[in-house]
Amino acid sequence: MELQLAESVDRRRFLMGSLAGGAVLACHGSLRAAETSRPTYSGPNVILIRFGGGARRRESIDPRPVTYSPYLLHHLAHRGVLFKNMLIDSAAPETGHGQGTLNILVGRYDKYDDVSGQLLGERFEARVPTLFEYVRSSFQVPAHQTLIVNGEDRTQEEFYTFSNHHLFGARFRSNVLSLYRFKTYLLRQQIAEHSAEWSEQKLAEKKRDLAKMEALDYRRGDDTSQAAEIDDFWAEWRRDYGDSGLVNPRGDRLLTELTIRALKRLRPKLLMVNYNDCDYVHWGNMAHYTLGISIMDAGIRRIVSAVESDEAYRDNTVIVVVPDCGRDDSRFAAVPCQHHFNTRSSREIFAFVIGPGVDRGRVVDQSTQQIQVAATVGQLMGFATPHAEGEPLAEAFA
Amino acid sequence: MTTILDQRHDIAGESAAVDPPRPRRRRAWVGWLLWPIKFALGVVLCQHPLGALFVVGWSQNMMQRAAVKSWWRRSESRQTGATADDFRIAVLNVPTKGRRRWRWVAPIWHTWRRGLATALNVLVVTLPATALWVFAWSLGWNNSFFKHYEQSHLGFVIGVSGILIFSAVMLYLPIARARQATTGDWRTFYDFRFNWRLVRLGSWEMLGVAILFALASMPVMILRIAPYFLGSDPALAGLSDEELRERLGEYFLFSTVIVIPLYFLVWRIAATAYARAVVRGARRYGPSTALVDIERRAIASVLAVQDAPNRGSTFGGILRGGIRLPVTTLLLGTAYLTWSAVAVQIFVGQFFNYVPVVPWMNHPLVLLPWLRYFPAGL
Repeated sequence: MELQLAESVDRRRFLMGSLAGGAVLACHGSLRAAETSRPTYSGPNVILIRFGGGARRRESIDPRPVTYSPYLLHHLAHRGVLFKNMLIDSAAPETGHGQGTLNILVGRYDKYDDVSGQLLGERFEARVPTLFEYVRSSFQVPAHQTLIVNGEDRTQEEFYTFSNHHLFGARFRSNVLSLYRFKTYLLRQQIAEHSAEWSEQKLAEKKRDLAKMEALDYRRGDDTSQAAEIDDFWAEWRRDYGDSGLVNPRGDRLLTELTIRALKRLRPKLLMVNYNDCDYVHWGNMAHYTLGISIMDAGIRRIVSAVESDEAYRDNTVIVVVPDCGRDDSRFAAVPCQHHFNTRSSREIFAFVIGPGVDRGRVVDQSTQQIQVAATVGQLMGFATPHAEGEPLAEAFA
Repeated sequence: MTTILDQRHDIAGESAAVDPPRPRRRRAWVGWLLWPIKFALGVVLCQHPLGALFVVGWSQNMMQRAAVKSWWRRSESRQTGATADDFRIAVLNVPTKGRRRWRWVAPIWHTWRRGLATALNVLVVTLPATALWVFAWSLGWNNSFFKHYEQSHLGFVIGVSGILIFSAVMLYLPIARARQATTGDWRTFYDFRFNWRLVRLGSWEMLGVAILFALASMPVMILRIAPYFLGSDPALAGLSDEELRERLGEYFLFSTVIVIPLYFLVWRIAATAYARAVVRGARRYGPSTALVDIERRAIASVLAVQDAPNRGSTFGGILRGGIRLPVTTLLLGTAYLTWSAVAVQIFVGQFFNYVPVVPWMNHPLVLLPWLRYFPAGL
């Protein structure tokens, strides 16, 4: 009797398990089928350079009296299309880095509220798909070939890899290259390498730190990993620069170095570089602002040079340069552009596009909108951006 | 019974008796007439640091009157019918010859010199802290921009050190400045031992002064920050530099109208706190040998109200002393933290509207009541 009961329980359990496993296999299979049914992507690649955090026209493309981005203005501008009069006509009360970056990525002006509940927090989550999700849902582009290169001071921008949209989301997320991610990788490696030597307490502490770092984005649940190619990337970085963090380039120069290496190793189809150093002018030193712009200008020069020296990228890469926001112009202040408090000047930006399919040597004076960048990138890369509100920048196309 | 008013003073070889008091109605009428004129003049003078020294000098005169009046309220002279003016004349040993002419209009040079001496003393004790802030701000943010992790602690350590020093200095400064104002002797500012005893004796008052400063500093901080936002008005775009200077100048005149009353308020309270501390110390321990003549004369009249200092029994004294120490420490500790909050306000003001070195090192309520700063190019 007991044997019969045990046997019927086992049979029931087996059948239930089989049904569940079959369902999983079916879903996975359909996903794989959907993945392989998407076409491969042949280009053009797009490098989106966030000329920020917060840069005015007058120190860059509209020198009054000098430009701190001579390469962009004097050497690059005549090879592409310069939109001198781009605006951020957002209904949101604030012009900021997070807001501007999301405006660029999703092609829509939204009012973003911090979800972390921290004072002055900027943990924003996009409600509609980002460019990364569009490109990955339209083409067979692996995660490690859609990248955000992020600065170490703004970990909140690590969340811009995917949106909360129910049809897109984490499945089509991009990967991130940043010092924060390297530290996460490093800690994981150190735990693996030294766990035998460490005391139990130290090991537990390190594991807690790692869990905390990996849980940066709660939306991803247990899946906190990035692509295996990213781990290889970090392994090479570690070999070259060690563990201390004191050998590698710093600030926005670090972002340029990460970008150059990513182009060589990861071969991204869509890459966004989130420059930010010029935002240090918030603390009152005007030289930080102007030097920050110069550093970005030098970074753009290196990136363009890297693209042009790579056969796969040369003639097959569009570069878009656009600030996240402008800066103020307070006539009564010792540092007129110290902040970007939603003034007219902080909403006045520009955009520059260069590459195949883009017109050359053109300057567009009529006003355009920051949210048009997403639709423009979509049109260049050949995918639709149905949730973006801005129209493509028609003047950009040859 | 003789009082201070009966004492004869040898002034320049002449004996002088105290004049009988004047009718109060006439004095009040003159005072009310002069007040708005002096106020307007003070607002204008505070548009330049050298002019602001006059106002500092006036505040010193005001502090002296406030302290002496505080003593008068507790004095035997008051009980015998002497007015505050009479008491002040006697305590300060004001020469009777030509006294009427100078009673309410101090010599211009004398006032300016008082202001200069005060400002220099305040600068001497506050400069170490404010200089550290200037370095901390510059060094710290340079380190952040260039990601100098190896030196990342420097800006923070220097800045916090400056705040700690500033807070300690500000515990001492109100008493020291009030004493200088009352005695008319700049050297009393540096009588560290005695002044610190007064700080401890007036620990309640010191906390009150700190809280008042912190509260009064908030509108001052807003006035410091506001030009940044006012200057972002698109309507200013078409104005010439001269027109912008004019607009900003009007703003600074308006700001000074707010700052001057706050300045006089906080320092008047400080003067009263000093006066009460002197009385408390004299009643508790008897007149100190560190008192100068003015203080001694005033305290003599105060102590004459009671026959002996309020010492009580030995056991009671020990008990009170045992309670007093932790209470004093707690009060002064709280005052110290309150001064740190004032320092934080200064940093916040710098974040919102950065100004270069000199205006940053001058807090309008601490040093000079002067806010006027035009950015380079205007």
